[in-house]
Amino acid sequence: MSEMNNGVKGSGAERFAEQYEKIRSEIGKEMIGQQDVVEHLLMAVIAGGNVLLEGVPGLGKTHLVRVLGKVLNLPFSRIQFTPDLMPADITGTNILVRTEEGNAFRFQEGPLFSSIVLADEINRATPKTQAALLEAMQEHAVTVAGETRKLPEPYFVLATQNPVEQEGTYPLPEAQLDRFLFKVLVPFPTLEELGAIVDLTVKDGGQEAQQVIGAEELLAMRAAARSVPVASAVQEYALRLVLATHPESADAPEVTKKYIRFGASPRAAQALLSVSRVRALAKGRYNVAFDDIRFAAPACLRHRLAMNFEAVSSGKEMEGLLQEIISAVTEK
Amino acid sequence: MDNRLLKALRPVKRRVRRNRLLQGAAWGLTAGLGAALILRIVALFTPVEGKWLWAAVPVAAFTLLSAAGNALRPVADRTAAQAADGCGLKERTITALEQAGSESEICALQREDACRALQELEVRKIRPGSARKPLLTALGCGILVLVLLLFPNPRDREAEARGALRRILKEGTEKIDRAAAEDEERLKPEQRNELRKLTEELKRELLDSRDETDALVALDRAEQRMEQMESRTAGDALAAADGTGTESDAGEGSEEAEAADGTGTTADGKAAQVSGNSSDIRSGKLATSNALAALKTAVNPASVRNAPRTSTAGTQGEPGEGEGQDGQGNPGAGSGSGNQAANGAGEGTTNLEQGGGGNLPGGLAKGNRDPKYKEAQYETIYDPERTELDVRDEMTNQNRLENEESLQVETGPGKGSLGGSVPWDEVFREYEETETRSAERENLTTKERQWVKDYYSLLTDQR
Repeated sequence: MSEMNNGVKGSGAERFAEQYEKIRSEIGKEMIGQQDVVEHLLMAVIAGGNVLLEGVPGLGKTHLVRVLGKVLNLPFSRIQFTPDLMPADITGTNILVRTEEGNAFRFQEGPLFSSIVLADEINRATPKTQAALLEAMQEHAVTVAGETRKLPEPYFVLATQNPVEQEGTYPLPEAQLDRFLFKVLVPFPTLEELGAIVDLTVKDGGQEAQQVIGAEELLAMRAAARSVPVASAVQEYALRLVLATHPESADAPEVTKKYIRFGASPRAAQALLSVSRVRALAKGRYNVAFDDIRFAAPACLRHRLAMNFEAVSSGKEMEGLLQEIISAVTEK
Repeated sequence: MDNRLLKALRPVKRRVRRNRLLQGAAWGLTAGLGAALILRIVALFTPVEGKWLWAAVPVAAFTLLSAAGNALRPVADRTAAQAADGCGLKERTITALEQAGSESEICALQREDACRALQELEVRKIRPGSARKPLLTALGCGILVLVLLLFPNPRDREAEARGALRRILKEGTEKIDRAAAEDEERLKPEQRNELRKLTEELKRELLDSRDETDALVALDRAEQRMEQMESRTAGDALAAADGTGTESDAGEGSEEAEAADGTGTTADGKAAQVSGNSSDIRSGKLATSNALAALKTAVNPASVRNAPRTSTAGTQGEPGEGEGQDGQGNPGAGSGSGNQAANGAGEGTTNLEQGGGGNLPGGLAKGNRDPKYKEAQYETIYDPERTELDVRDEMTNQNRLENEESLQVETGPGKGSLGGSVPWDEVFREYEETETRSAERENLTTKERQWVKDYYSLLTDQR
């Protein structure tokens, strides 16, 4: 059955769907293809989560984040992660300033103090610097010199990493990975999309994305999404899905027991349900469906699971394992 | 609970009920065919009567019961909601049901959305669960059942014979009932009671009979009791005819004499008058006795096996089945072809008194001949109390005795066995002892007892 467009006039939920569609189409003006990536990114942003974008260079990851900032009219900052990047470089630091009263320390905000933070090639920074992001990502706050400063709302970190160049990189620790709501794989464009991208760069007068909503509207959309009811069966399905990723779980499918080293954390269940709520409203529904959970599951789980040696040695890929796990869990 | 939602769920519930009915019928059919298959397998080892019925009844019963049970089971709101959601409503209905108590704006919107979706839902889309598995199983079972039904099974023939026996016994017992009712009118109250008791017990035993052997044993037992009863009746009649009784006794006696067999007895003129009244009375004394004998003929294994579905031949005493006593008085074996009391009725009883073969062709019935001709003659014994039942078949295979010299040799398993030939002298002795003992046991007057003794003394003298 196709998604029904409800006729509830003037409701926040209907505006949600409208606004969502507007944002999507506005991003689409500057982003050729990558519909799935845009959708995941948008949902994560509305749900208030951080996103890890993984793809080879040149796929428009940075551009996508920049366009998103423009459409949402949110302050945007970009941090290029390098091995010599220090935590203070991103969080900010107290600097000595000369004032009329004399010298004094003043906190110089780092690039984290922005609503949208693009952490480009995050895996190139040392673990120490990566760890500096933890507090910002989870608590939307930064503590420098014993003083905790709140970050602006809405706040989210969009990190990118290159899966190919692994030399001189520092894989993100599990604790940090878990703080990303989604890990979105950015695929290489299709032939048609590639042609359109090429055309866009050589032609003048291409469409530019415009602002659709502001921070207030974004927070309102987030609040609306959080109120979406979830049927007990659907919620249970999401929880069973998370449990199915744990090899020690009694209900874990065979594939999990065989190839997974450790499963997803409770944050994964939270992430599944919060993103599903957003998707439900985006599709014009006021309730979460099993489909929403299934849609969100791969992006929510792929960075939270770790394959064991057997899986790696036998050339298994996380995507395949995830699909097997998802199909093994029934709706009941 | 939102009434709109419940109202919108009603068509869904109806559809679910219908689907359950179909599903139940499919599973019932499978179970029924499974049961029929099991019965057919059982029928390979044990005779089961009515094979088509036993194939059809479980199928029909299971199908109907399962379908009705499923259809009548109430459909829960939640079940209906899940069924509706399964048709692409994306969990709208189940969520609305669960959030029925919530007054939040989003829940109100959700309910409204669910109601609208339910109203737009085409309930035809709600399909019953896959019936492929049960129907395939049913098909498999059905084919096996059909094969087993059409496949020749010796146990089926056995069951058919059993069915035929049951029908014969039913018809026979009905006739015995009618005959007993007829006889009761002519009997004294105590004899009437005895006869009633006898027929009731016989019916019960026949009902419990598993095969013709059981039935024959029951019939034999009843026949013996009948003989005893008849001898008493005859004794009464003779006593009455002798004029030894009182005025009232004489009246009673003449009444009893009608039921008495005067053939070959020493009855006086009165008894002789009575004996001329009816050939029935002469041959079997009581109609019940004739009916018993007729049923015995009908129960003969061969006749049971060959009996048509509505067999009356056996009970009619139609000729042709058994080997009766031939014209020379040679012993026959097994069920006779006599008119009424075939099967050599009276075999194993006093041949003079009982005269079971009174209606045999040529008037050469046992017991009707002058005692002097009885010497060196042989009686064919059929007394279940003294024989082995498993040698009964030998009776039908017994070679007829061709001359009297050859009669000197006993054939078969021996004296008292079925088909065995016993010198008449010995049989006479046995009869005499048996009847004398019976006379002693029974509630008879001294004169009557004396009469029995005199009767055998007379016969002994004649020998």
